[in-house]
Amino acid sequence: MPHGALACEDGPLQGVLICPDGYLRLTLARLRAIPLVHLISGLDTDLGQPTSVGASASCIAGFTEWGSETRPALSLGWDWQLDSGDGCLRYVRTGEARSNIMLIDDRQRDRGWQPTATLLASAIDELDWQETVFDCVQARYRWPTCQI
Amino acid sequence: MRVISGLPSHLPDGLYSKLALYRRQVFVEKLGWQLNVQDWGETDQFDRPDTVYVVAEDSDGQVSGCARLLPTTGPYLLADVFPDLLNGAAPPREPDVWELSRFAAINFRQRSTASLAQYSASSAVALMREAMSCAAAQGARRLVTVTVLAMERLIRLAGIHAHRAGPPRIVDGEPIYACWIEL
Repeated sequence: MPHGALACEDGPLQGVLICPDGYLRLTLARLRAIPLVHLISGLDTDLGQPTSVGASASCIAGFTEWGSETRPALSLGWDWQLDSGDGCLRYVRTGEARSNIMLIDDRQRDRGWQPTATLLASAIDELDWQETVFDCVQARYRWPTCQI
Repeated sequence: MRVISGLPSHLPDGLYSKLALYRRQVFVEKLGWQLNVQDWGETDQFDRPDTVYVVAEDSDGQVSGCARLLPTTGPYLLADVFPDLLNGAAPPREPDVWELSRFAAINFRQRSTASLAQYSASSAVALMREAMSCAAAQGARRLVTVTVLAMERLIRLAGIHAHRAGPPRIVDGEPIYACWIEL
């Protein structure tokens, strides 16, 4: 166990190590079991806001922030873009995740910050986040109703 | 890009004034931050004799970037203004932890359509690495910084080992974070 870490014995963060370096350490399996709630999503404003349903999908990109309703809290954010590659509009994650999470293996060893980012990206792709982001962005920027 | 770093008393004559003016141009006039500003520039309570500055100049000697470094053993921005960004942890008070703040890398002489509002990417990465080296020379092992999404993206783009200290605070619809940068 990392020096100075406090292990949560029970509650929603059971199995999570709270560490002085600012990381919350947990296994990928544990992460998948902790509900994440949406905090905020937004557009990359200098790429311009879409003015119609027919706006170019390649110009529509932004960010989204999620976290756990715990103290301390897990924080997970990533970028997305609206993709129309296969004829359907879809929100897809772009790039790596940004977080306060260090994934550990079953022996409590760090997986490393870069492998963690890669694994978090895979975990994000398993989540149903797209509709939440769509709803938030639509409400925030007053987009006309359209389907994703 | 030429980079100069040091305490205010060690900076070349006139550079501190140019830096203050540059900070006003970036943070107040361009980004709209609500900061204490005078005709001659932008400073705050964390601009002290022991503050270390990293200043980038272009080939014409104009300021094109800046960063501010403070030891966490004294007052600093994150501890005094944004401690909630630390996810319940106590603000660091360690001689080998320094704070990075007032980071910008805009050359107002160059037009940019970059999505990183206060940075041109390649210059920003170079300046970031200079600031990290400067901090390390002061004995820092880690940096902590209050930052915005654009800078968090930039840091990741540069392949720098950095991570959040906790969830963001939403300010005017945009997230701000505390981040750790490992040196």
